[in-house]
Amino acid sequence: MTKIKSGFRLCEVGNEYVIVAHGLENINFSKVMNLNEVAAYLWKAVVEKDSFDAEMLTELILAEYDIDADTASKDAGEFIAQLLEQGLAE
Amino acid sequence: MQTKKIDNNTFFAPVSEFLKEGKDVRIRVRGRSMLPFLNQDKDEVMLRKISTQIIEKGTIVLAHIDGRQYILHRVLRRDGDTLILRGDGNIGTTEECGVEDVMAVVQKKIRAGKETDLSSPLWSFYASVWNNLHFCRRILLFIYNVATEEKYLLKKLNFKQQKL
Repeated sequence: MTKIKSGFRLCEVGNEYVIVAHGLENINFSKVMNLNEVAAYLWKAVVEKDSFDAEMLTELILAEYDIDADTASKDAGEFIAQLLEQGLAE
Repeated sequence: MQTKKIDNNTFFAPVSEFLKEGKDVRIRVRGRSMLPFLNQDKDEVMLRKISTQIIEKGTIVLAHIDGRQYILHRVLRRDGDTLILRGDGNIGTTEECGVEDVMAVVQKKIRAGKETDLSSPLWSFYASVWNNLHFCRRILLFIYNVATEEKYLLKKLNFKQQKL
């Protein structure tokens, strides 16, 4: 099970989604992470959750996008892997 | 890591929101107009929204001028609620705006993880010396530009040689 760490916030810059790091009083726009539309959708869906896994994400993708289960499951796995790799989740 | 350039209007919209919420916002410096104090390849600045009363000569401000242009320059003069701004690296160009156009002031500079308070007495002194050099500033800026843009200069020279 995975959980998004605190200290990150999704933010819209123009028509792009980025994750910015923030402390109690400041927000860091000098290094941001770019998210595509699907990733932003997943982020919004799970950011408040205490924990989530690839299965949940797959369902979320299937509910919103018209793709097959295999692709959705692969994307879900990749999303989690990326979050962990970038230190955004634990 | 990739660096992506976005146009200022797009970039500063969310930045401005956070500043209004009272958060400090850290951004990268773009452009060469604040040389030698701020360098676009190395420096980041921490911005903070403050009361317009505190803005004075020597303060580095982020201003949204005429609702279109975002500028990070130093206050050269304050006349009531009118500010004249100039980049430390600019010679003749100044900008005029009202104190209400100031979105934030530069609280500190961050270079390679090291923080410098540019409003400290020492750095204010450096800045005032630099900005009062008048003609010398032009020469020093030229030398600085040549020294830091060595590659660019070499390219130009090569081009000249080829032509000969």
